Amino acid sequence: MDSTQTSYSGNSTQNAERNQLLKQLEEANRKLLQAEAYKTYFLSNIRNEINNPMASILSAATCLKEATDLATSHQLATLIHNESRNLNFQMENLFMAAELEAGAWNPAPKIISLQEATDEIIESIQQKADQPEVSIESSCTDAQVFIDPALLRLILMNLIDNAVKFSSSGQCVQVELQHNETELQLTVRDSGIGMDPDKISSVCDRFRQLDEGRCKAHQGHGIGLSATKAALDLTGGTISIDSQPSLGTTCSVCIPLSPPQNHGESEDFEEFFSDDTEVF
Amino acid sequence: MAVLQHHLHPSTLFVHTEPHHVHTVLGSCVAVCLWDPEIQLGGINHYMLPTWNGTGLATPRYGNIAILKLIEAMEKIGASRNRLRAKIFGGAVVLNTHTENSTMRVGERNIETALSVLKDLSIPIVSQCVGGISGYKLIYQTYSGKVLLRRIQPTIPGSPPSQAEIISSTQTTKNTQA
Repeated sequence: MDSTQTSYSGNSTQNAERNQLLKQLEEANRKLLQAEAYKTYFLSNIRNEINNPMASILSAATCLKEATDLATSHQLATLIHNESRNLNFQMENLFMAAELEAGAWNPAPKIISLQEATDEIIESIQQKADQPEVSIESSCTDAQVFIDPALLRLILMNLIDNAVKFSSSGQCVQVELQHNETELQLTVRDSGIGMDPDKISSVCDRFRQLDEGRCKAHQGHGIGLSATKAALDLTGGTISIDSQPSLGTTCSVCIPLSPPQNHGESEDFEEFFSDDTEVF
Repeated sequence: MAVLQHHLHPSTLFVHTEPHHVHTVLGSCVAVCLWDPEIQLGGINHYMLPTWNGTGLATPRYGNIAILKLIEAMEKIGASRNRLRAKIFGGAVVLNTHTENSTMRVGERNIETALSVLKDLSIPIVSQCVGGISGYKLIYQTYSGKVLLRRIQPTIPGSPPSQAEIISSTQTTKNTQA
């Protein structure tokens, strides 16, 4: 009787494990199919995202060559400048994502002035912004921190750009940076269109944009936040998003700050033991 | 011969035609070292989780991605997939996660991924030092295929295996696969 019960119990456990594994496989398959669909969407979308600004730049440059008055020249040069910045931002995200996917991006932290770096990035976004009527307020302590400037730029550019993009005229985006000895806390808050809380978990998915389709109202190809998330994963950082429709979105990022380190390059080899298989 | 140094961060990989000493630190993460005996060059990755779930970027943070990307990078510098040999390291239980819950057995699942992917690709594993409760500092000599290890103190109660035991287990694996 006991052995029968044990055997039955064993079979039941095996079935439960098998069902669990099956569910996991089905879920993995569903996600892979979804990822493939996003990739297809990305490939069709990227043509617009690169071609459109490039066409504007070429067209404006052609007109600029023939412009005779200063006011027109200035207007065309401004257009070229803005479109170039848009294009550059999209390309930076694409290159970063490509490097992260190739496993070739290595954090290169150095001591920088947090205030100067932040101001420079915000100024760059303000110049790029299609909606100059959205203001950006920043609060940042003036301190020297040991951080990869490219990482800080990637995070700030993407979070602030999104916040501006999804805000309306007259609204304000707030950027706050605080740090202690071990971490940098960065918050970007907007009072824009926000999103349903159940969509939050997918905003960092690769190629994912909540506003999709031919008539989407906002630029971008859904790579910025996934690159930001991947870079944070690599450096031990975290991102959390809080949002409510019509009330706005708050993105909070925590980046570990480590002191400059010697990564062991000068360590004494004698302290190591060989794995004893010198020849493959 | 001038040997350059490289610190390998988690979620990255390293392949270079110049001779390097690649340094990395492993806990539950796994590093796969590949070696092509004909071109006498090696490459290494360092992944943190077993498999990519299809949502974020497909980075070498995940074992199934990291191993394939490493092979592709090796092929770009002239290696051939048929000639590759592998060594695997890491996958320790570095937190107090002695549990049946598979989501917590990250080290073990990282090792399983390396074994399974390399087997599927018919790449022989000539040496391994995996599992246990100790993390390792590792130096990979990309010009010789040699690996130097140093144990890091375990973070959970229990006696770590001795150096002799580890080398012995490494040799056992090597012999079984020979």
